[in-house]
Amino acid sequence: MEQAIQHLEPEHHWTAASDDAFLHRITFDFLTQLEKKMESTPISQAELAEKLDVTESAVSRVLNNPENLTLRTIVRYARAVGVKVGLVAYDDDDPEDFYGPVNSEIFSMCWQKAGRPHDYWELANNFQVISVTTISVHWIATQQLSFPMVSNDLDPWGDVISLSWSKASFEFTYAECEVPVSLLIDKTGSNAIYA
Amino acid sequence: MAYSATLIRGVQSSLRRGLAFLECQEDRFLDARQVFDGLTDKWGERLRSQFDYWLGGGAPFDKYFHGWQGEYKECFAFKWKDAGTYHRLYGFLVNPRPESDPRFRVCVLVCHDWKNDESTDFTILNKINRLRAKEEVIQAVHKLFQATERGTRGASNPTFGAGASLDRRKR
Repeated sequence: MEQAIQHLEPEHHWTAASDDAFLHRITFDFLTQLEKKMESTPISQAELAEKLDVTESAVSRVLNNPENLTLRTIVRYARAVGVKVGLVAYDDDDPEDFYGPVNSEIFSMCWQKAGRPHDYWELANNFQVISVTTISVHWIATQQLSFPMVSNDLDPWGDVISLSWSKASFEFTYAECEVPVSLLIDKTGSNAIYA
Repeated sequence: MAYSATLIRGVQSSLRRGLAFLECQEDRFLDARQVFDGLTDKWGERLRSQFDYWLGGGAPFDKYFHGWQGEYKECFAFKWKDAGTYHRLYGFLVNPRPESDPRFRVCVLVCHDWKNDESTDFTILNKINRLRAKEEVIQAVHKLFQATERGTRGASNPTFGAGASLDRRKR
């Protein structure tokens, strides 16, 4: 495997080296989710072994050897800790694998952010509720203001779907936020109040 | 001493995080790269997966990596356990682009250690703290990551040769 990685083009992700490398990464991601669930529940390796009717060392072997996981084992272990597991095929415009797999936890978090839909109708309904946020900025003082950041982790221009302004206010509609947000700037422009 | 910082083939920086090895021919303390290159396929893939998890912004997970507090708050370690032995790749965190990209952090891996329990050897962390303050070390890391400034994900990479920017945000 190391040799295969060393022969990759520099821009390729290491999982491009072989199917086994890709498999290792995605099963690693699954085991990370599993172990986090065990930690948060909490459930020990011994308790998991008892649920699965195997020895503790067998559990340890599974948790430390992602390359040996089968789908059947994945489903067994997931059910034993009280979670479900899905297989997701996705197109991230990266057929040559420059970026590697998207971590499975990202899919799980997106599903939660979408309101945990169980079917396509729920998905559509949930998106109607959460997909759009309008942010209003009301000028109290007439002065040059830098563009307000919604939070440290959002690129304010990333998903703007409409934009309008006047002498008194500035408003844009932002996709993918959960609740409407408005923002007031005080006379100095230095304090922002989010409501 | 001549220090250099090098990237890991196949391990890509993210928008917020990068990873590199610090190397120096004259200083045998800096063996992280050598140990990493000598790992079996299984552990090489395992470490790369852990690197990916950290680079991607995964929530802190003590089984894979951790930092310290107080005077060691810039020290960092990736960890794994093989046959009862605890392995560590020790390094430090640094922002190589303080002006242009203040949120970008790099973990610079320095040395390897192994032990039979989980206790921390603070002599190693003290050495790392002294090392990360050296001007030659700072320059080596800054040089590598300022050269890859456009590149977070898949950008041109001076260590492995130039390539076209693949930053998906520009597509």
